[in-house]
Amino acid sequence: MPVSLDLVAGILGTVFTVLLLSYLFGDTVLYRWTLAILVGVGAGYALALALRYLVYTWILPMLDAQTGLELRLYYAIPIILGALLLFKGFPRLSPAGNLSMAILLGSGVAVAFSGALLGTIIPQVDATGSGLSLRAGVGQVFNGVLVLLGTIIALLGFSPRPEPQVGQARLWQVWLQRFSRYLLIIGLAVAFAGALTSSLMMLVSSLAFLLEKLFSILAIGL
Amino acid sequence: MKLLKRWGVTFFGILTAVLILLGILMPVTPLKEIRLILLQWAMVIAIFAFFLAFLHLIRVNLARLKQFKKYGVPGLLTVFSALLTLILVFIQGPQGTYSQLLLNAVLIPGEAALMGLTAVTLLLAGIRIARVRPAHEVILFTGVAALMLVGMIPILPVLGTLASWVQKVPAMAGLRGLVLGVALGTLLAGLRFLFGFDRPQSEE
Amino acid sequence: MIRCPKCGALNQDSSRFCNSCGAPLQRTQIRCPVCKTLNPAGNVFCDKCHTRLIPADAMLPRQTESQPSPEPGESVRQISLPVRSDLGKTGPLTGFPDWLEGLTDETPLPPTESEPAANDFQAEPVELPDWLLGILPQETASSGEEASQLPDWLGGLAAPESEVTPSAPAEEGPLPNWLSGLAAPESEVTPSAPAEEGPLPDWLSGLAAPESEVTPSAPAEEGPLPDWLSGLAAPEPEAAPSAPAEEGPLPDWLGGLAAPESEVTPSAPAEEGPLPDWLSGIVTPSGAASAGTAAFIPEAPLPTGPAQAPPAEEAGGGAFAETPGAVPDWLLSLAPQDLPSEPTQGAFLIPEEETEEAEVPDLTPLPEPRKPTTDELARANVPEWLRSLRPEGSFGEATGVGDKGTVFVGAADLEATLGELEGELARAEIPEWLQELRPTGAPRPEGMTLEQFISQATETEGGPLSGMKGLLQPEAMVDIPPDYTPVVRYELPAAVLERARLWQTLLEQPRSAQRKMARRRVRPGMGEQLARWLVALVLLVVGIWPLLGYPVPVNVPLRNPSGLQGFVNTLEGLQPGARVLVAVEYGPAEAPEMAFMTEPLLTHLAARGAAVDWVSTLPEGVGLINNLRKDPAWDAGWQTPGYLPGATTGIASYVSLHQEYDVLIVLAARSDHLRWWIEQNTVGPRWPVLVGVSNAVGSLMIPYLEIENLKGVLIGVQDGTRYLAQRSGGSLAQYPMQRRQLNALVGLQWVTMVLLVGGMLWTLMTRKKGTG
Repeated sequence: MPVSLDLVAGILGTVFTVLLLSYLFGDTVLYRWTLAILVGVGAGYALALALRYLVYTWILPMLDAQTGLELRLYYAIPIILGALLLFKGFPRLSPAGNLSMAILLGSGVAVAFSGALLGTIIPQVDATGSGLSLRAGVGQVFNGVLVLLGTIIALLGFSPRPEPQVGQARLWQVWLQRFSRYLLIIGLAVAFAGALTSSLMMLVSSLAFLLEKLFSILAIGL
Repeated sequence: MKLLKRWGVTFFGILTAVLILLGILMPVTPLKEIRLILLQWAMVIAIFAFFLAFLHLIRVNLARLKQFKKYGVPGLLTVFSALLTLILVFIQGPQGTYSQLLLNAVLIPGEAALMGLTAVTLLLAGIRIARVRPAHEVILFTGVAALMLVGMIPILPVLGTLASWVQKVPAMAGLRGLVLGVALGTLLAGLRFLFGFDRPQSEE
Repeated sequence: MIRCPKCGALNQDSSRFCNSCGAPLQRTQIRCPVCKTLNPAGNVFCDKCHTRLIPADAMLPRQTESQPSPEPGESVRQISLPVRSDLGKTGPLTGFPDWLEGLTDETPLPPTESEPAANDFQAEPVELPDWLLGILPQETASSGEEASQLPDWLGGLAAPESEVTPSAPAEEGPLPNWLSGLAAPESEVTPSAPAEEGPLPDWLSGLAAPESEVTPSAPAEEGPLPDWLSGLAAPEPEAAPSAPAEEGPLPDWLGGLAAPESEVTPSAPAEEGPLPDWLSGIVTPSGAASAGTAAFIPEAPLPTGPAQAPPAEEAGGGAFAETPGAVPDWLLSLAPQDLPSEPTQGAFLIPEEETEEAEVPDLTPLPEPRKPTTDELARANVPEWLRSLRPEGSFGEATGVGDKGTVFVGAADLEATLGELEGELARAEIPEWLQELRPTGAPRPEGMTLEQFISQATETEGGPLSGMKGLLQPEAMVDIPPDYTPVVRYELPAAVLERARLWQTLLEQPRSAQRKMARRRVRPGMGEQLARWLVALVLLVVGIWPLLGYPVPVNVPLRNPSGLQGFVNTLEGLQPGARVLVAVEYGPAEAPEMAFMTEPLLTHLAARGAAVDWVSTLPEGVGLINNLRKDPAWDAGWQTPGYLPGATTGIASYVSLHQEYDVLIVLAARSDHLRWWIEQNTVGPRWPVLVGVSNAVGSLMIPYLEIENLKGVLIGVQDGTRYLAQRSGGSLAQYPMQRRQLNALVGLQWVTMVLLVGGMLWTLMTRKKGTG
């Protein structure tokens, strides 16, 4: 990249970072404008690469004269279905895109269904059982038992079931709900800590980027 | 005719799902190829869905121009930057100059800064939980979060050990229950679609 | 339905308060608490089950000083018993019914200050029977006229009253024992004492004088109770005889109630005039009651009360023992044939054969009443409805005439019993006021007896008096004219009309009509804003400090992550030319964090000579991949990165088409994308997986990081820096910026922890109780 462009990129990045970080001290007009530009650039960038893939991978081969009829049909059908999907943006013509939507949903449901069953439930159950193996030692077995019990309790609390009426709940039901709630709280607290750490790292990297660019602009060594 | 109109589209959706599932469960020759074709067609239709979302973004921001005083400039900036970026990146590709400029100068620092802002928001939200939740739940939540914060990159080894145990045993149990619950919910939603109880494609 | 006078809402008839605004409602109906039947508001008893609807104490009319006493002409058909509230107290006699309130002397007594309202009974003026009409205050000169209206037996009351002066009691004849003590029992009472205390009724006026003649010892010995009450406790023959003889003249109706023969002068009754009818029978127990005397003697025989004490042979032994005067028939009929010789305590003594000499009945105080026995209760004239409630084997059904003059009467055999008793019982006469209430139907034909006339009447159905004939029909308390037609005028309040119009407007609008909704931008409060600034400032200072190169308190040790060794070992096991698929599943936002592990990974892959294919389900990922491939040395043999649209569909399609990879490396900062890759890899080719995730995803996707084919994991900056250090000889000397960032991150984590815990504690202490 030419130096000038590098400088431009640095300045532009610095300005963007400063303007966005200014939200810490209040919602300003410049912040909202910067955010609008960021949204636009991100949407345009993603669509551009997606359309580029579509054009280069499907449309151009379909239009290629050397493509056979069957292959052309193979390329054309999804493009036609996709084009029909665009009618969903117009309320009156919306039913035209129902077929495309149905195929899209059907494929997504099938993949998700198979993934949930074969990729999550069975491996997770297998992993839970593996924790009870004595290969890793007695301590690990104890942890494995705790994980097994905790998983069952968390799942029971997470799954929907009729709530017992006030005054009629049995003691074990009350404590089961309480324990499942506590386990979920612990799990979500760990996730919260991880998200907080990631965001703190983003803040650090943004600050580091700012400082680096500022010093490079000011020709000061960091 | 009414029956065809109502159930025709749903039939195709269910047929697609069934064929793909059969291709996974019985990867024999015709079913495996049909599954691959259907999956690739779904990928192409998904790009058009992405395109539709982009058009909706443009339309919404153009509609905001009616209230120019309040939403005019941000809406205009969004539309202009989106269209400009689309043209530039589409023409040059990801390795192009302007593509890389936009990525390195706008997208990476901008989105990183936005993520950094969420640190303050998350912290304040964690404090605000104490206002609405029962005390014992708040103490448990805050205690575990605090332990993990200082235990992820521990200065004291004991904190690291404790954080590691919490992550591997109780957190694992809770999150595994959560993951299994999500997976069961996905199965249920899939079954509802396969049996025709849910027809989201026809907005019914 | 009742319309609320305040808000206009419709309520049920039995509602007492408005359901809408809570205002009290005027009830038009009363719901029975037992059978839930709605009754008119004026009902005292339920029409269906005859449960009392209005409590008895609520029925007692309360009369305050501000309220004028009701007119004498108003008739209230209620019968209630007076309550004596101030027994033994001196002072005005308050709390008595009207017919007793008139029993005051000419000089009204000073009113007392405290008048317990609860015990006051001030009945509405009652239409007095004849025999009570004379007992009225003789305040005016019309007393003579009133006296002329009095019946014969009370006629004597008027004349002597006019002559009564404060000293009148001294001139009257001797009082019976039981009346002698009505005056103050103090020995110092003088004949003038009654005058000082206020006017006494005539029949009591004579009691005042003899007080001075009464032996002081007698009352004093017996304490504060008046003599006539003290006599109830222990009748003392020695006190009685002298008192009546020494007392002044008695009123007519009491003339016959003088002391026993030994004490009463024969002339006393003659001087005082003829006896009242109801007392005439006491003197002539043979039934020679003068006409009109037996004013309230019923035709049916009265139930027998406690065991009848014989006329006291001893002086003062009983109230009516050996009555000198005539005994009314109804009293005579109650007299048992064989009476016990000993008078029982509290018995109401039926006089026996009187002697002509005994003109004044013995009015000695009655002994203390005793409890009736089982047999006595059984002989009571129990109505049919009550008889049906009798438990089996208790009293048994007894009919017929008892051998002791008692009568057992059942409702069924009333006629037969009446016939049997025709000759034995004295005829009872219904008083005139009761006769006026007789239903105005066909008059009784001549020649038909009352019993026959009653037997012709229809039986009453339902209620406690079911089966009985000739009963009076209950009348409603409130007289509603027969032609009354309530006119209800509905006036809807303005608020109700407005609401109805609004509903109509909303319902008439088309469904798709857009409604403008007011949107109010919520601005954070000053406290929140300050907290935000403070937190931001602290984080910025703590984050910038290490980045500027300033020393930090603690240099963060690079702990050896558990997943790093497996990660490194797997890569070390790759043969040159091995096919590696790297999935870049993070966006520009996470790029700085993921850079800690992607840079050493790329150098490692390049060092192993692996053939890498780059893919991403994110369009931005393709651009990031290009950013990573800056070094041409890494680019040898690497294919153009591929974009996989359709999220999980694209992954499923790709892994189905390409089965030739040796390792799958997923670099993910999005949890869903990591899950999709792991799921589709498990469903499909089952490649060995190496995962590099951000801190956020690593914490959330813990369950997916312990699956079977997962060979190595790098989580977040700490594992990335360790990997980086390991690749660069074990330290981060070559990467100062990464070191500073790590230190800054650790510092921020500690500060965040302190802020989180402190903020939690502060919020818990300051939040309102009961929230959460």
